[in-house]
Amino acid sequence: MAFTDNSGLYGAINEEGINLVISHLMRQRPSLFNHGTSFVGSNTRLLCAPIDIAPAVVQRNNPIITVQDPLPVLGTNPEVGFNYCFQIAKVEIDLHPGEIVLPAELTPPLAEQHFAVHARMCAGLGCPAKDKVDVPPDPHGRSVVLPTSQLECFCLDLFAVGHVEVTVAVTATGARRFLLGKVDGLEIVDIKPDGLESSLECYLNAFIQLVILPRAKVEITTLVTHVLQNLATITLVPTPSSPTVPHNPIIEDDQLKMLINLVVSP
Amino acid sequence: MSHITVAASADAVRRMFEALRDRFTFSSSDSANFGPFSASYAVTLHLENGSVELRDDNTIAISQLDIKFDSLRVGIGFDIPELCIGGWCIIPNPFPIGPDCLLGVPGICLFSRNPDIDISLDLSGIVTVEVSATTRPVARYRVDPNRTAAMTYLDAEDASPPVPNQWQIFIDPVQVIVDVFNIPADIAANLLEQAVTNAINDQLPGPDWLKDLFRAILGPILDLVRRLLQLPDDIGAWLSDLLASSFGLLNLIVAAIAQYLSSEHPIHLFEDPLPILDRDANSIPGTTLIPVKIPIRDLGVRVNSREMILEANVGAQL
Repeated sequence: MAFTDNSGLYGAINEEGINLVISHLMRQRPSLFNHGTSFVGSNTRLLCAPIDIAPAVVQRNNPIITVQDPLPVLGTNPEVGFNYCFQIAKVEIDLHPGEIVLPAELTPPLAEQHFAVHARMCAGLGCPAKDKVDVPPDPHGRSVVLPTSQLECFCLDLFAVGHVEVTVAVTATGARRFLLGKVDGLEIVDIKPDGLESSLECYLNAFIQLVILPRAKVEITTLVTHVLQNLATITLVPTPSSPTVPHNPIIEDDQLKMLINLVVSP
Repeated sequence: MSHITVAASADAVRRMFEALRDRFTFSSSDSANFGPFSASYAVTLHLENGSVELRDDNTIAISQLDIKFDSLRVGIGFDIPELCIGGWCIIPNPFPIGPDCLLGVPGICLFSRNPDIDISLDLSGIVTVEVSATTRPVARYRVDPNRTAAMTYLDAEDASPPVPNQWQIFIDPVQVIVDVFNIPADIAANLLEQAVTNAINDQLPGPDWLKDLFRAILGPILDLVRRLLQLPDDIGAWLSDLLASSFGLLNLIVAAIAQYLSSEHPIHLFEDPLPILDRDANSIPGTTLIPVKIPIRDLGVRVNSREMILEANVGAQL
């Protein structure tokens, strides 16, 4: 059987390749995975997990973390806040058939046409010494950040399962089609009580769906390494579903596959 | 197993080849002296048609590829022996004084220049040449010569023009065969005769009846030219031989096509490292995040009768 029996073009990447791509993404765009206050950004030794940074990030003065406002102490006015960091320190993708041992909440084994994620999430709060909490108010009424010399860090293992869809973005140059991961289930291991676990999972799910995945979507023409995309009369479109192609993109055999048709303009 | 597999169907490969074919152009000109005559040519051409067949022996056969001459002009210059007519005396002077001749026919000499005849034949519409080739897909890594050693991959991308490293897929010719020039004998003879007739007419003085008289003296034009240039009966074959062998034009065309396919124009190329995410100027105000790129290693390419397959690995380090 040929790769292109049902399409003009075929592109596939296996999970080892995907995990290398993710490691490059994390090294070249660390600010997508690491967030914290400006104080932490200026003192990266405070981070809960070391960040492996590509040299180009430093050469081009790209930020290592996305700077966020301090975590406010509720009810303070002027506002008093904590330094903190939030990091996704490690991501490992497993394409069906699954090898990662999933928690029971994600109903293993991994379903067909799905991927699993094992990630390590770390966070830390910059707690001041007890006698430093009573900070004097800023004479100009500005918010105050509690001083700290280190963060109280913790790390959690996060598991998720999901699938991949094609999304279309209409731009000035025409429709661009992207591969976008979708999270179907997420589970943090060993957090009690259940309400805290559910709340954390809810927050992390939103963070991944709203921040990480939209900014890490890859244009499908990239996966087929730009073949033919420069021909003016040819448009590359995903092969539509049919009895012979029930899924596209396809997750199977530890690979993510994409079938693409060549549509010839008149 | 490679990390990345990309396959293009036979139809996709055909379209890739057509794009490659349509970008090919060739031009050349030359001149030389061949004893009884001098000759020159100027040619521009492109490629059309052609069928592509992928084979299980890892080759791509290209056949019936037409060379279309946008212009093909052949210049021929030659001498006609000088012909002097007139100059005789009708009424001689009987007296011992005065000129010898009272009434004479003035003499004129024709074809005194060198060369006398310089014609240009436009063969662009009548010459057909067909090319076939057996090619093999190869992957090559190109470092732009304008990229300095100190440049990072981002510097190379930012240069004007950009000078990124590239993976390139060529269809390397194992064999290129070009048919002999096919110039129809009768059309070539007519063209040559008409061109020579026009050229001679331009040199003949006087009214049409006088030109007819001179042409009667010269005899059939084509016979004259054949005699002067020592041409065979088949003018088309002679012109073909002149272009193909004497000027070596076929070899030049074969070499140009082979070089075009093997090293000048890849059937496909992409940057290394390969961009997977564009620069991002929106996520963090006031900051443009660098594009995310992945190094592509160990690229290999092969074909079978149904598709072209590229396999590569994702490198661990940029």
